Amino acid sequence: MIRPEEITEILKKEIEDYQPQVKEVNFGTVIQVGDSIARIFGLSDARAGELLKFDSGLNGIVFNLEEEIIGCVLLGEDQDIKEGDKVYRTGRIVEVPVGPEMVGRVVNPLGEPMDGKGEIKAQKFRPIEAMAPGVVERQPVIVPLQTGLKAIDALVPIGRGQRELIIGDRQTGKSAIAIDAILNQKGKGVYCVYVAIGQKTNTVASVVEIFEKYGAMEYTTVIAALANQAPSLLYIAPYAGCAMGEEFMYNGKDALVVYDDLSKHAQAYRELSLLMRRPPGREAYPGDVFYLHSRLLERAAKLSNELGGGSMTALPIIETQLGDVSAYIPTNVISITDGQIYLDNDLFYQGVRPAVDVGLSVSRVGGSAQIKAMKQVTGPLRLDLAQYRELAAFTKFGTEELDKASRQQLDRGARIVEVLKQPRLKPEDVADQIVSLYAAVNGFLDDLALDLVQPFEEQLLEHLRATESDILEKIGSEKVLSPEISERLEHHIKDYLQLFKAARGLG
Amino acid sequence: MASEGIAKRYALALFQVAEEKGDCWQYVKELNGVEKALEVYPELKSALWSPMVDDGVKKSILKQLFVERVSPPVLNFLFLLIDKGRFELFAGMAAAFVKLCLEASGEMEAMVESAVPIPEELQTALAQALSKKKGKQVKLKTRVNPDLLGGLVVTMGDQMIDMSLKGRLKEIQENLK
Repeated sequence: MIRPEEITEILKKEIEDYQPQVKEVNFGTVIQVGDSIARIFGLSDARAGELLKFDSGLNGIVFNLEEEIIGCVLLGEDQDIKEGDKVYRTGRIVEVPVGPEMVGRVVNPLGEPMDGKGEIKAQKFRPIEAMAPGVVERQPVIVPLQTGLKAIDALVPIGRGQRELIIGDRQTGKSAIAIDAILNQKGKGVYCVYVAIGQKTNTVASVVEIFEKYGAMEYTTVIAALANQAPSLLYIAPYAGCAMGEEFMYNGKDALVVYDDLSKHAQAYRELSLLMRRPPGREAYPGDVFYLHSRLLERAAKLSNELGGGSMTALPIIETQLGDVSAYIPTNVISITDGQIYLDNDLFYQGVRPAVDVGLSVSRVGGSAQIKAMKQVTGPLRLDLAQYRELAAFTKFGTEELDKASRQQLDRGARIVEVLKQPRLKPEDVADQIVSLYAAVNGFLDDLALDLVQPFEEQLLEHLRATESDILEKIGSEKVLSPEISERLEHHIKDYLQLFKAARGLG
Repeated sequence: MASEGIAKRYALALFQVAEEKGDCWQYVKELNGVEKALEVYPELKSALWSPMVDDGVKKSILKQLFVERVSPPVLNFLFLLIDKGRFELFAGMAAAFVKLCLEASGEMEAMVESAVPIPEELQTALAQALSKKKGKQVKLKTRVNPDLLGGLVVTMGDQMIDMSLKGRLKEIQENLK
C-alpha cells in the first residue's frame, strides 16, 4: 500500500519539477460514434493499426485511413464517447502483458484480469501484431505434442510448432479435443493459452472450471472474448493469445495456443469491416479475410536451435455448417494449416467419440513427430482401418456370405475403432496408448466381444501397471518397441486375456 | 459518408471563381454573413433545409435576403446548392473555403484558448512566435475558457499545443495511475 505522505511527496515533486513543455500534439475530433466504431476528423499523422486514446480514457485502433477521416474501432463500450470529443495518438500499437505472470489467469483480450484474482504485475508487454519468424529462424517440426487422444496421436499426430485445424459441425466435440490436449500437457513443460472467441460466458466458465479441477490452470492462460463484447475485442483476441504464446516460444519454451473458434473471429471481423464500409466479398467477408487468419497462424513455429528451439503450436477450431468444408472460411483455414482433424456428426452419434473421421483427417508434418514405438504400431493400423472402411461400406446389408479373411478383417477393424474410442477428460499417456493399440493391431482382441474391448483395455493397463510397470516405463524412455519389450508385452497381453476370459466364463 | 469531401469540392470550385475575380476575402466575409444569418434565424435554416419547401421558393427567399448583400457569384453559389440539394453542407463549405484562402495567401489560423483574456502585446508576440515556428503568417483567433484554469491551448488545424494547467494536471493524473 502507498502511504498518504508518499502520494504527497510524489505530487510535490511533480509540482516542483513543473516545467511547461511546449509540445505539439496531433489530435482528432469525433464526428460520429456508434456500433462500437468511431469516425474521427483530423489526426492527419495517425498510422494504420495505431492505438488511439479518447478523452474518456477508452482506446481504439485505427482501422481505415481516408482523405480527411479516420475510421477507428473502439476497444470497449462506446457510451462514454460523444461527438466532438478529442482523440490523441499514442504512437504504439495494441500491446498485451505477457510472461509467466499471465499463467493461471483468465483475462480479456487486452490482458486485463477477469477472474477476480487481483492485478497482473506483468514485467513485459508484447504488441499483438508481430512478424512471423522467417525461414532461417525455423526448423522442421520434430518433437511430438501429445494430445493424449489415441485417435489423434496415432493417426493424425501433432508436432510442436505445427498448426493443426480442428474442424467439424457444432456439437461434435471440437472444443473437447482441444481441452483434452491442454489437460494432457500437465508436467510436459508446455504452456497453454486457450482463446475463447465469441463464446457464451457460462461455456467459458465451465472450461475454466475443468482446467482448475484437473490442475491445468497451473500452466494455462485463458483469454475470453465473450459473445456480448464489442466485435473489436473478438477481433484482437487471437492476436493477443498469439502474443502471449510467442513470449514463451522466443524464450526457448514450448507453447500451445487454442483458438476457439476462428469462425466467430471471421464473423467479428466481417462485422467491423462492413460497419467500416469496406466492400463485401464472398459470403460478405471482406477481401482480406484470408490474410486475417494467415498472418495469425503463420506465427506458430518451431524455432531453430540458435534461437532457443522454442515452439508455438496452434490449434485453430472452425465450425462448419452441415459438414460443408468448402465454405469460404473453412477452405481458407484448411489451406493455411498443416493438416486438419475432421470431426463427423454421424460418427459422433454412432458413439465413436472422439468423432475423428480418419479418412478426411490428415497431418502434413506430424508423422515425423511421432516416437518410433508409436510408428511401429500405427503402420499396420492405418492399413487395417482403410480396409475395414472399404469392406464395411460394402457389407452394410449383411456379412453371412463373406469369406473368412474378409470377416476377420471386419472384426479387426471394428475392434480398432473400439480401441480408438476414448471418454472425455481422460487423456492417456503415450506408453498406455501404444500398449492398447499393440493389442488391437496384433489381433489379440479379435475374439473378444465388442462391448468387452474397452473394459479389457482398461483392466489390461491396470494390471500391467501393477505387475510389470517397467514395460510402460521402458516404452516411455526408450521410445521404441525393442524385440525384447515386444515379446514381454505380447506375453503379458496373452496371459491377461486368459485371466480376463476366465473371470467372465468365456473359456 | 463522404460529406467532407463533397464540401471541399464545392469550396474549391467557388475558390477558383474567387481567384479569377481576385477577391477571396470579400467572399469569405459574405459567406460568414450568410452563415451568421442561418445561425441567428433558425427558421431560415429549417426552410432552406426542408425538402417540403419548393426549390423556387427557396431561391426567391435567398434572392430577397442576399441580393443586396452578397456579390453575384456567391448568390449563384447558393442557388447551385439549392439545385443540387447540398445546402446542409454549407457550413462545411464555408470552413473549407476559408482554409483554401488562408492556404493561398500563405497564412494560417490558430485558435488560442486561455483562462483569462490575453493582452494585446502578448497576442502579437505569440502570433510572431507561431509564425516563425510554422513558416507561415499565423492569424490568431482568441477565446476565453475558464475551464483551463491557467495557461493556454493553441490549436492549428489538427495540431495542438497544450500549455494549460488543466492539461498538465491531467498528465500528472495519468502518470500517477
